[in-house]
Amino acid sequence: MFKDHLQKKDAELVAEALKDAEAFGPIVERYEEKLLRYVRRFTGLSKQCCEDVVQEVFLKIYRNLNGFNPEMQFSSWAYRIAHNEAINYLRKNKQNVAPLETDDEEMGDLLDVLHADVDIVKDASKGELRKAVQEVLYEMPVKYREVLVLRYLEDLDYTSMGDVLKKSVGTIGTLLNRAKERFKRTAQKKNYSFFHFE
Amino acid sequence: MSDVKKSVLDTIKKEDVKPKPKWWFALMHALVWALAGVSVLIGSVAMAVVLHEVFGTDWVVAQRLGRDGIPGFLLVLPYLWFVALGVTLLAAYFLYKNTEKGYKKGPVMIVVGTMVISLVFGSVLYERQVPERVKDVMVENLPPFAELEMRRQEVFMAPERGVLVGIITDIQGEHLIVVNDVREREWSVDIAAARYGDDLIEMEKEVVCLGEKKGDAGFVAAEVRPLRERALKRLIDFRKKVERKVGPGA
Repeated sequence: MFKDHLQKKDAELVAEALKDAEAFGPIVERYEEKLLRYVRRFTGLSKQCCEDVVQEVFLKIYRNLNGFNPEMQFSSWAYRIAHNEAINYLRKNKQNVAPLETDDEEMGDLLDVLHADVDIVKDASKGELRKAVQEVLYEMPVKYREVLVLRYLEDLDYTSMGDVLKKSVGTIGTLLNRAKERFKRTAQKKNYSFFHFE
Repeated sequence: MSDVKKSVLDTIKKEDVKPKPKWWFALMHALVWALAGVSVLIGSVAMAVVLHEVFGTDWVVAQRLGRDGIPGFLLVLPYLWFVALGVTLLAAYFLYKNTEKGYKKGPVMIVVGTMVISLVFGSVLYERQVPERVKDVMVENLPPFAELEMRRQEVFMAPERGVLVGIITDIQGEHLIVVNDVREREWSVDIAAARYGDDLIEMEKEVVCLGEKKGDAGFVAAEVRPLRERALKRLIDFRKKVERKVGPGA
């Protein structure tokens, strides 16, 4: 049974969930970890808050299953709902997003990307760098943070990012360039000595 | 089973959560498209009226009507319709962006596309004289609009600033004509030194005299220009309608 679900495509699982609510379970299983990680990276909220948000995300996904367009990737649609819900949560709770005290290994991915644009001093420790990246990231406006997280931490392509944020591919490209510029400027302002900018 | 999965499935069961029906989404999509369509349609009507005003205005005359340092063309531009066009195009843009795949198109493409569609439909409506009918309906039903239109048109009725619009009611020799203006007031116009085209100085011709006012009912013309076909007749009819709504103008 379990193996069976793993082999099924998202659209098949959606069709089954529309007939039987129990069949929604495998969809939750498939996307729970991804969405939790995304919401945590995007918002910087605590584990408990992220779980609350993601729980609401899955309920919204379930309520709107009939609105899912199979021409689109289910993952992009799920990310879109998670993104909107995370924004709503932040607005409602007017919570300042504070960087988490975690060693998110994937923050290194963002660093790898930034290597192309920013010289990073070799003797800086990975831990220091990750913390610095997190701090800079959470100081940035949401519109820039969201594209950096989706592109470099969630590894989405431009088309999927456009589907998540409901923006054209061209707009995504522009936003990403601006976000990288903003990242550099924010890091400069914070005087992180291990980033070297030309 | 994870906490999130358990909690989601429990909530669905306990609160009897059901997926919204398919027709609800179809209805929402149809509604957004319909509203976008209505916005484009209203935008096209506004575009038609803008074309009507732009092509129906004698800009050479308008240039002479400037006052208080404001160029004449700024006094007669159809601002209300520019605003209406802007608002409806903006609404169409946001509505289109909210269609299922609307976000895939860039903002510039949507704005340009919406403007081109409005221009095409607007030109068709303009050719079919829809703007006149629209303005008539608005004058009948919206007194503030009628008042605004009256004020715009009065800019052109300014013998004291050298512009006399009227209909030739008498020709007294080679140098003097009688012109009845929009308020059906009689003017003696000296055309001895005026430039004018062939066949213009004839009875019942609608003309614009550019020159200088002399006394209470006299005018010395430097140029006599033809008015668009039956433009004065339409203007007089329009004024009568407006006056019925908002009272006589200045």
